[in-house]
Amino acid sequence: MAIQGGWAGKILRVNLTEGKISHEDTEKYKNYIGGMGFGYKVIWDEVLAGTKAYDEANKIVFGVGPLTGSGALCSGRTNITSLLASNPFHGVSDSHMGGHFAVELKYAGYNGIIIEGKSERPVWLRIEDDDVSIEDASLYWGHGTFKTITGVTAVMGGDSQVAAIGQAGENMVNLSVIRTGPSHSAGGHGGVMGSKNLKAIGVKGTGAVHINMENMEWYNLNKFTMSIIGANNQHVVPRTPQPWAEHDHPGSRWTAKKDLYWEKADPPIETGICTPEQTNKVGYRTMKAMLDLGANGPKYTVRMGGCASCPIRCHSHVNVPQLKNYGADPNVANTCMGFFGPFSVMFKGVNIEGEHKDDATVIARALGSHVADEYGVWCNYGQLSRDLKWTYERGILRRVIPAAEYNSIRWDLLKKGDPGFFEDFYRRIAMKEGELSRLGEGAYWIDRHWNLGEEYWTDKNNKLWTKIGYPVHHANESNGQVGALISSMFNRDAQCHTHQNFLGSGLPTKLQQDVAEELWGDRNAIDEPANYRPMSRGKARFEKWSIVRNVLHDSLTLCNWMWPLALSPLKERNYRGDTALEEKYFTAVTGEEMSEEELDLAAERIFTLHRALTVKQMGTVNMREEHDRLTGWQFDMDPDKEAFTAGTIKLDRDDFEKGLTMLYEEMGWDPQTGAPTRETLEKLQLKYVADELETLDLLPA
Amino acid sequence: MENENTVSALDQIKEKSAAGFVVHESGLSAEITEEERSMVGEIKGEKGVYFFDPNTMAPRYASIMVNLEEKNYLALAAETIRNDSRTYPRTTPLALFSESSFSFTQETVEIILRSFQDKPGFEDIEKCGASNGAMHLFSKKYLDPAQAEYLCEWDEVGRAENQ
Repeated sequence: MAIQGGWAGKILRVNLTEGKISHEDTEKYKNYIGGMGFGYKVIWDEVLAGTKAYDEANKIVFGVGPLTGSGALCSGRTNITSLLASNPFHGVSDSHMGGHFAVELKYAGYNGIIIEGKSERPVWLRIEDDDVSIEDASLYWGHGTFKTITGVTAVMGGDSQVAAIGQAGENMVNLSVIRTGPSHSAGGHGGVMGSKNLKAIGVKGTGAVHINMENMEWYNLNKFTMSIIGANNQHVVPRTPQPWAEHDHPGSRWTAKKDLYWEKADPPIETGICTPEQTNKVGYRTMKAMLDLGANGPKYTVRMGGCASCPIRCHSHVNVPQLKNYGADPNVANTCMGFFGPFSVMFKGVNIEGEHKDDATVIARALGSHVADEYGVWCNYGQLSRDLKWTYERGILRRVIPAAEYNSIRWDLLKKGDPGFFEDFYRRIAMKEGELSRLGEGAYWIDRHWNLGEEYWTDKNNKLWTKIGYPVHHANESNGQVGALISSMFNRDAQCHTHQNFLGSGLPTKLQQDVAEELWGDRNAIDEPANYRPMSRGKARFEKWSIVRNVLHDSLTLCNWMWPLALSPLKERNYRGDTALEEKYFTAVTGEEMSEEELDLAAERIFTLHRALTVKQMGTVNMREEHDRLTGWQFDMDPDKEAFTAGTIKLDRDDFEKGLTMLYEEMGWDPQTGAPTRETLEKLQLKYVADELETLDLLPA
Repeated sequence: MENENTVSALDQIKEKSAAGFVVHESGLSAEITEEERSMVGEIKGEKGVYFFDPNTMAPRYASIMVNLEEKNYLALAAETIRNDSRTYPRTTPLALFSESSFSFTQETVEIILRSFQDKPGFEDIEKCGASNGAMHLFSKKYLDPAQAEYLCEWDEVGRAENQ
C-alpha cells in the first residue's frame, strides 16, 4: 500500500566518506514502523556482525515515525540507533532525545537519516527540506554543545533545530551524548558521531505531516486523550491530598498544588490545584523543579519546558545567578537524571560558603547539569558517578592513576563540597585526559583495565545489573521479576517505562491488579511493592507487553515516559485509560487500518529483530547464559531475609531462571537459550533473518 | 415567601466544595431540601452534619476537612495512616501533617506522636525511619514492619535515585 499519511516519503542517506547525499523510499522499511524499527532494519541489513561502534563501517540512524510531528500527544522524540561502544560486544542499542528535532525532520520530509562512512575533516550536516549539504565544522570542533548549537542555529535561523556532540563525542568517549535544544540529550552514541567527524546536524523543514482523518474526528481523538492523560510518567493522582482526588500519592509527579509557584517567572505563576477536567492546565500539573532541584527548586524556576506536541512540561528551566561564579550561564534546563546524574559526582556532599544547603543543592545540580551537557558527557544512568565513588573510596584510583596526574585532580574541591569540581572532572572525562578518563569508557571497560574484582559487580550499592555494564533502571524494585527481566533484555539500561509508569501511577495495588486482570488475564501480574510472589504467567505477559509497547513507542515515535495511557485520572472511568490509543492514532494518521494486536505484533517483530541482532553480534545463541545473566547481588542482598517475604526486593535464582523461560516462551523464543526460533522469525516476517542466522549456525536447535 | 436573593443550600454547598471546604449544617443560610440532600454528600461528625458536593470533592477529602473542622487531629492522623497502610499500601511521612491540607503545628504533631504511644486504641501505629532522617508512620495491622521499613526508605531516598 502506498504511503498516505504519517510517514514522510523518504529517508535521507549521507555517506560521509564519499560526501554523497541520497534519498530512499520509506516503503522498504514500513514493516518496521519507524524510529527504532528503522534503525534495527538498517543495522541488520547494512552493518556486518563484528563491526565496532567507532569503525567507519558502523552506521548511525536518526529515526522518527509515522506519528512524529502529527500532533499526536507526546510525539516529539527522536530515536537514535547504532552500535554502542560502552557495551562489551558493541551491541546494537538506542538512545533517544526529546525536544523539537524530530518534528523538524518530518517537516523537512524525512522519516530518518542514515549516516555512514567517515568524513576526512570535521563537518556538520545541513538539512533544509530537499536542500542537504555537508558543511565545514572546523569553527565548532573542540567546542561544547551549547556553543555548537548556538553557532549552527545562527547559520540556519531560529526556526531550525540542531543536534550536536560536545568534546566527549569528538574524542569518542563511550559515555557521550547527542544533545538538542536546551535540555534534551540522547546518551550513548555521541562518540559514533565523533568517530565520523560529524559535529552536528541542523534541520529546518517547511512541510507538514499529513493526517488521514477528518478534522473533527482528529479534534475529538485528541480531546479524549487529553481527558485521560495524567502528569509526567502518566501519574494519575496528585502528590498531596486535594479536594477532587479520591487518591493521592507522595511519589506522584502530579505536583501542582495551591501556593506552589514558578517563582522566577515574571510575574510568578502559581501551579494551583489542577483537576483532571482542567485540560487547559495540564502543563501546570508537573512542577518538576521541586523534585529535580530539591526544596528550593521552585525559587529558581522560570518555567517548565518539554517537547513538541507534549502538554506535559517535565523539564525544569531555572535561572540560578550563582552559576556566574563558576563561569557558567545562569540559565539551565534539564530533567531527572540530567540533574541527578552529574550532581551525584559530588558524592561527599555540597557545601558552598554563604549559601543555605537547599540553595547549594540547586546550584550544584544546575551547574553539574550544565557542565556535563556542555562537554556532552553521558552519566550512564548514574553509573559514572558511582564508578567514581567506588574506585575512589577503595583506593583504586590512587593505585591506577600515575601520581602526578592523581595529585593534579581537584580532590580538594570534592572533599570541600565545592561544585567547582565538576569542571575539573568532566573536562578530564570529555578530553580523555589521563587515566581518570577511563571512567568515561563505561563499567565493563574500566573493570577490564583496572581489574576491579568480582566485588565491583556484586556490590548492591554499585547497582550494576548485568556484566554488560549498565545499572538498575526500574528493575527489581519495580514489581520484582517484572522489572528484573525487562532490565535484562537490552544491550544497555532498559529505558522501558511502560511497567514503571503503571506501577508508579499512584493508584492502590488492588486497583492495579483489577486492571492487570483485564489486560493480562491475571491479577497476580502485580504484587504489592516489596512483597513479591514467585514468577507467574501474568507477570510474563506484563513483561512482554511492557517491552513491546516500549518498542512500539520508540518506533511510532511516542514518549514512553508517558505512553501507554493504560490508566487515567478519571474516577468515572474507574481509572481506566485506553490501551488501544496507539492504534487509533496510527490509523488516524496513516490511514492504514491496523488493530491493537497487529500493531503490537509489528513491535514484537522489531524487538525480536533486536534480539537477533544481539545473537548475531555476540556470535552465540545462548542468550540466557551470555547475555541475560545478572551480577548476583539481586539474589544475595538482604542476607537476613528470604526472597518472597515482605520488606525485600531480593530475587530467587531458580525463580529468575523460571522467569526467563516464561518470558522467552511469551516472546516465542527458544525456552532454553532465549534465542529467536525460525518459527517465530517467520511468523514475524523475518524469514531473511532466520536464513542468515542459520548460515551463521545461530539458530537454536 | 423565600427571598429571591437567597442562595440555595445546594449552591452554597457547591460553592464551598469548589473552594475546598465542607459546610456545617449550621453554616447554611437556606434550609436544605430533601431533593438537595440526595444530590450532596454528608458526613456526620461529633459536632453535627457536614455537607459537600461529591462532584468536586472526594469523600475522603471531605472526611479530612470534617476532622480538621472539629480539630480532631489525632483521629485524622490515625485514619490517614491506616488508610495509607491498608489501601496503597504505603507508609505515611510525618512531614505530611505539616503540609496543607493538614497544616498541623509542630506542637500538635508532637502531641499526636505521644498519643500514639500512650493512649489506648493506637497500638497498631508504629514509627519507622529512613536513612535521610525522615520519620514515617504505618499501621502494623495492615502493613508488615519489614515492608514498611523498605517503603519508607524507598519513598525518602530510593525513588529519587531511580528516576
